[in-house]
Amino acid sequence: MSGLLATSLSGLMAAQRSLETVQHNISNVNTDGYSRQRVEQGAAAAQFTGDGYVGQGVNVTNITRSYDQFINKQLISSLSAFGDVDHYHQLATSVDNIMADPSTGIAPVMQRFFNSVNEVANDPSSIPARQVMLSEANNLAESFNTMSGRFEAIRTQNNTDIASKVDDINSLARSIADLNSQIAASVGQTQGLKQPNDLMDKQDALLSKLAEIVNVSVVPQKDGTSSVFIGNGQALVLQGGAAAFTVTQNQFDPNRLEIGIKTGNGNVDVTGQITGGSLGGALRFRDEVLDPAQQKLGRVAAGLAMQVNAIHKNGFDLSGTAGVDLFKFAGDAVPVVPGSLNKGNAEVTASFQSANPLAAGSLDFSDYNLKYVNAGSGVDYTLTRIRDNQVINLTATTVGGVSTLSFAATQPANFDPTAFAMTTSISPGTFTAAVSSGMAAVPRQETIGAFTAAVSSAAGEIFNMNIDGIAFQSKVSAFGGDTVTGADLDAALPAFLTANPGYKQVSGSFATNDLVLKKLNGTAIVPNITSNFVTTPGALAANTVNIAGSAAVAATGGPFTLAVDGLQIYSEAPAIGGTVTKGELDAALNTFLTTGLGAGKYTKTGSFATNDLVLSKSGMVSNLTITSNFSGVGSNPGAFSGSTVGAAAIPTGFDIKVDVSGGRTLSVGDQFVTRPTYSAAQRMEVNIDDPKKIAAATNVEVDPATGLPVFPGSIIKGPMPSDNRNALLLAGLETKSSMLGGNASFDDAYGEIVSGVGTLTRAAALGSSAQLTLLNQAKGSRESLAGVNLDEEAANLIKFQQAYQASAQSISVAKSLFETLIGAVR
Amino acid sequence: MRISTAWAQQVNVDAMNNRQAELAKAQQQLSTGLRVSSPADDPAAAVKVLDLQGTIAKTTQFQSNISTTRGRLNIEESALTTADNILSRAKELTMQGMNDSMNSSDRLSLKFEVDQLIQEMAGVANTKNANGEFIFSGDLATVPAFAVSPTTGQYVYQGGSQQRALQISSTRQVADGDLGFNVFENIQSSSPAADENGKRSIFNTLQALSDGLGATFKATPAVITGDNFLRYGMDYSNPLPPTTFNLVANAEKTLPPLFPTVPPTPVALSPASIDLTGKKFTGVEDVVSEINKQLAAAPLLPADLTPNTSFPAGSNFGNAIQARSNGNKIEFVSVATGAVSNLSINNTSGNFLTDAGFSDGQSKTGTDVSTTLPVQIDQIFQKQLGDVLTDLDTALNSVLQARTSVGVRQNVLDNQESQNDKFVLDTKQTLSETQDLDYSEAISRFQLQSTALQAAQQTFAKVKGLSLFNYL
Repeated sequence: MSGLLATSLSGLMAAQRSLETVQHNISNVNTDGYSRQRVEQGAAAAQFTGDGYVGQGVNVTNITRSYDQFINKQLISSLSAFGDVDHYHQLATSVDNIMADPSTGIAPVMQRFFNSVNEVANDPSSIPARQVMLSEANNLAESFNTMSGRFEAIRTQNNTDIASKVDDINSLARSIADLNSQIAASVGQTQGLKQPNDLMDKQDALLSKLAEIVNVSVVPQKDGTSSVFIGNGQALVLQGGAAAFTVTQNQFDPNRLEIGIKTGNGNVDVTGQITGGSLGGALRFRDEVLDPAQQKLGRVAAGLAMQVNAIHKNGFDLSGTAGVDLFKFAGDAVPVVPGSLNKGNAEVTASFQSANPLAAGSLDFSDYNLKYVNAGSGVDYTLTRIRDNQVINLTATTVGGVSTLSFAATQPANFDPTAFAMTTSISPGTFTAAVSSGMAAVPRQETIGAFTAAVSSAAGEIFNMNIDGIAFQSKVSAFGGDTVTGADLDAALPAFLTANPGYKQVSGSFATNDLVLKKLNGTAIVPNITSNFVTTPGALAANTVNIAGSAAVAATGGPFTLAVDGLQIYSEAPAIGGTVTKGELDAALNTFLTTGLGAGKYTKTGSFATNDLVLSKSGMVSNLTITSNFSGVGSNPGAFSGSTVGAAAIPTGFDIKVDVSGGRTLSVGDQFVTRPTYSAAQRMEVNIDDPKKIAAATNVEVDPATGLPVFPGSIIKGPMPSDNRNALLLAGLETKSSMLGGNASFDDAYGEIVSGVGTLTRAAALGSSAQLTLLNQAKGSRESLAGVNLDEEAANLIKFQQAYQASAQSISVAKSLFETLIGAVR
Repeated sequence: MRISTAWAQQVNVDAMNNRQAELAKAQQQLSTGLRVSSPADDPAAAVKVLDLQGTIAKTTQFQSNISTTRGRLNIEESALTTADNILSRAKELTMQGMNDSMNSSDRLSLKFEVDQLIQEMAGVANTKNANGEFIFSGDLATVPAFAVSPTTGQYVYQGGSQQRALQISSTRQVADGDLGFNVFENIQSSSPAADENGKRSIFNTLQALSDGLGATFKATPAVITGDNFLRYGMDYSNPLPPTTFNLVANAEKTLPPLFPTVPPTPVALSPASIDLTGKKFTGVEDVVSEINKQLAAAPLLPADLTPNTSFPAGSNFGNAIQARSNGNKIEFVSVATGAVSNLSINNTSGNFLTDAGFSDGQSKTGTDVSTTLPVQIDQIFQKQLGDVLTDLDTALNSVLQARTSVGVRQNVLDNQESQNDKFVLDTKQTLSETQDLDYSEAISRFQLQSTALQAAQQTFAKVKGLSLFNYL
């Protein structure tokens, strides 16, 4: 009977626990990260009686949360992916908006500047027109400053953001570690049998928050704790311990933050390992959007300044003074930052190649790292283009402690043509005087065999004889009995020898059957007779070779030619007796360099004669080669030993000088970062403030009748107030393709930034919405499993209320049973 | 599938948010009229828009250049028309003057009119445009094209040597005027008074007409003129190459009054060596005075002194050659006039001859009033005016040629302007197609989106009303 009561009580208790859990669920319907909980019930162990096993009611075995590790993992990775692309999208949109903002756009200002140049060209002596041009130049510089300034503001904001996110990571990591300790204790209390559901939920919520900031891998441990790793295995949280992230400045650029993790061995740089999450998005934005946009903007500014300055400096201003730079850059034109870890104190300076008209086209949108390696074999320095880690090896030529850098002799084959050096040289090496083809052949001498006279039988029979295919003698018989004798052939010989100077008669004659012929080119002499004379004329008996021209091989190649970059310098047909000497090549090369196609393009030192010729070309060179297609016999004609092909190079648009004079030193491993474009837009300024100093004139004196310069280089020394020729040249820059390797105008180069940012932003927007869908699916799956449904809970409420009522009723039944029994005995 | 209450709500709210964002986008497009509001909307279109706007701005600038050029050419054309009238009138006066029935006082009255014409012609040649620039002065438009030379008293060109051109399309430049040198000065002439290149300026021709009508006949000295404009002098101070040249003159011996009837005969003089080494000159006058100083310091002597008897006491050969400026050019003139005077220049070393526009060995002989003696005034008069008449015809041709060239350029401007107009129109059309909104599409999209938002709102309200707790 007491069993009856106890069984009912257990039902009552179970229903009560269930009702409490339902209420817990209802209360937490809107709690983030909450997983609905369920009371797990099991039938109590039965009591064995003679009748069998009698049930003893219900036990509450556990209270569990609805949780699926797979779904949770998916949620965490979706959060990271979405956090990354969404943050990236937000940041990219801010740059995109700058590009879209008509008040800051560069393109209209650039147009206004060039229009104002046109107005100066229309009226070069007008001070107001010049003032407008100066103001527009200022506007242009300021627009570059403003846009670059806004980029810089975004960079600062992004840096603050990165630092605060790192703080968030650190505090989240600490919270997770703390929770780990609590969870481990709680689980320990139950000997690992029961889990602290709400702590576990809290842990998951913190992990989700962390995943939103950075991509982490979470490894659940047996004791209920979670270990958190980032990147390729750097531990962030292990049980109750959390590592700390640090933010440090790049040694070359304090505005570039790097993220490290503190370990026992000091700081480990993990910037490259940070992926995903909003922190990953922020870093990715910096590398993919902000840096290129700012560098490319600087490239347009630097290119524009270089091109405008080059023309402006060539002109003359209103008072007849030579022009100066129109634009300048605050501070050094090309900043160079020495590494803070350098051991030496060499002074490294860089400057734009303003005299090189192609330099603007070869500017890249990257910083360059110059490293002193002293690796030998001509490699003194390496220059690394930071954006893609392309490396070129440089040789230094040092004069008075100042090193000028140029290409090393050996270059990586795959380096793309934006390399450093401004000149390319080739050394053709030793040239052996060439003997033209055929001349090396030893003349061949042959005895022509015996000839038997031919006799015809009738009229119309034909006798034909040739030597090596060259007609020698022919006769048509007038009647039978005509003859062709050796004497006839002898009579024909002089004419043949006169017509064919390649053959000589050495001795003898056909008549005496001892004719010896000499052939100068050394090939065999083949006499041939075709005849239908009745007495078949004596086939010439087999030739006897007196002196074999064993080396005699017919020339097969063309004439000897020497060409540089496809421009022919020297050519000689394989005439008999012809030779090509070093002196002839030197003379031809000198003509080529002074008055020929190579004038002003190539320079040389040394000569063919002394075997030390070095031919150089400044500016863009891709194929400086000397080729000789001589093909002959005998000697080794015209072969060049040594290197014949120069390294392909295009200037980077700037030069670097390393100065170790005055006791300065340089240590192997010292690094210097050259930043030609990074801040060019921000530092752009107008160099002059007097409108009269605008150089609109070229001051070139021309003949009024022909319009041609009077004599080369004649510059009028004095003011030419109405000369607009230089202004026209400046205005022409607007449409000139001088950027991006000579393929784009300034407008195009700016358009490239706009489309680049636009494309990345658009891709980020699409990526963001795709990731949002995935994230919502993951959230939906989790909510479907773990979320609280109020209707379900209401139904459960009713269910457990009824169970409770029933258990209570069965207690009342037990009570009345007792009373019945007690009443029966009373 | 289980639906979590909070999630169901979130999903609905998200849906409404998305609908609202789309609606806001459509509304923004409708209010701005632009399909592309930021590069991310359509990167390719955004760049195309920049490109097209740039093209329009550029072409509009060309249109403005065209109207500037046209204004200047119009002024030049009216100046040339006036020049044409002046020359025609001068031709009439010449023919009147050549009429044998005219007496000297009649001719004198014609001379006064010709003098007026010369003034008028100078006014035309020094016409200014709206900016105050002398239109015939080329790239030196701040100085008058022609001014009276203080040494010769004649109008000489002192403007620039280069005609300015304006950009009227990305590939085309048009000159906005003509050099006064080509229009008024460098005119072919077969008259003996022409310079060594066979050229005589309109002003000289008119002056010869005036002189003839005033019965003034001049024998001319030998003159050689450098071709180059030396406005700003020359510099032989750095580096220091020797810069020397010789001037060689013939001179007429000036005999004492004892021998009045002996006809003048030319005497060759020894070369005068001029040394400009190490000197720097800021202008033509500078060079002229230096050379004159050296000429004066070294009086020229007859080359051959042996027959001393030919030169009685009182014979004087000093200052036989003078340097002087002609506008911006330098010229050398013999003091003696007539066919006996001869002048030549030879380079010794350096670049002076090249710089000034002389050729080595260049020489010129002066002209007499007449080659026959005794002088017959009437023949000389007829010859001089006959030459003037021929030269006036050539001058008229030169002016006409300049007018034709102006007309051709005006035509070019008109063509280019209409081409540019069409181009701007087409480009604007393309720009509109690229960036402007298709309103009908956008409005229907807007309506569809607002309907969708309404539906989402209504269903949300309905679904939220459903709860089992309502029935407990």
